[in-house]
Amino acid sequence: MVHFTAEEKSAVTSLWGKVNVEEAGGEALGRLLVVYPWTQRFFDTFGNLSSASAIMGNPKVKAHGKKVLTSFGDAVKNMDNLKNAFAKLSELHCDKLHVDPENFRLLGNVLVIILASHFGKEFTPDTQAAWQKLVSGVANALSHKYH
Amino acid sequence: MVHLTADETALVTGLWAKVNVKEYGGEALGRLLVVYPWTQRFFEHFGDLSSASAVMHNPKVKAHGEKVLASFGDGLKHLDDLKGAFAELSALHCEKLHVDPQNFKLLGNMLVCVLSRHLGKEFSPQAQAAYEKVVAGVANALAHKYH
Repeated sequence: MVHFTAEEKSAVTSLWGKVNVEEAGGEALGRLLVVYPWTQRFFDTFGNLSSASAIMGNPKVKAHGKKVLTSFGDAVKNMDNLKNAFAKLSELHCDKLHVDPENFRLLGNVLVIILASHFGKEFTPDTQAAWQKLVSGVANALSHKYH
Repeated sequence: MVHLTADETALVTGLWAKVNVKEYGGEALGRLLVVYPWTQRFFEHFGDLSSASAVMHNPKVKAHGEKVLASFGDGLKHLDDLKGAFAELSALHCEKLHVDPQNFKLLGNMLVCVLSRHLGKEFSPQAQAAYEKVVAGVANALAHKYH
């Protein structure tokens, strides 16, 4: 289980309050597909993924990115109990979607990079450390039900 | 060996020209020590690393960070032969410094994060993809002489 100090929780929630989930979600998923092109295999039904600009502009990528990041918002509300919060999604990703759990870590990295890009100075080392703990905790929670 | 397209190489070198090696190097190393605190074990003689603020302001961290990033910058001139370019440093990190090669990947992540933080929108998905390829190539080159 991941343990967050009060300061870490505060760093996470205060930044989260300023995140445009729709925009950041689309950007995170888009960047995942561009930077780690093998991840596109899970999104064959999404249409045109033939270039970075096609991906970033793809409406299905944006919509799904928003859905994924909205779900991530549950993590922010359940930082003390990530495994439970993501139990159902973990089963889904294993049993139905067959996603290699390594991809959860990659998406977590991409999210940190986007936060750095959007928040600049505000994304202090302490804030980054708290967020990296969170994305790592979410990745672990999503892997927890794998068999 | 890293395979970058001509566009990717242009993106990497174009953005590198805007990098303040001294500032970004210190920040990348500092963030490594804050976000992954176990890495501090390699820098025990650096003095005060007791808080994020102490780490980020530590003059030895800044100086060493600049040195590390300057070396990375040299590597960018040898993208066709990173293993050759980093052979001596690889031997040093294995035989003298005893650094777990996983830490090269972590520092690479920090560098990408720092670039994103400073360059904002200019750190496009394509730029991120190119830089992630380069940092992975450098990490591999630094691990290459390990035995």
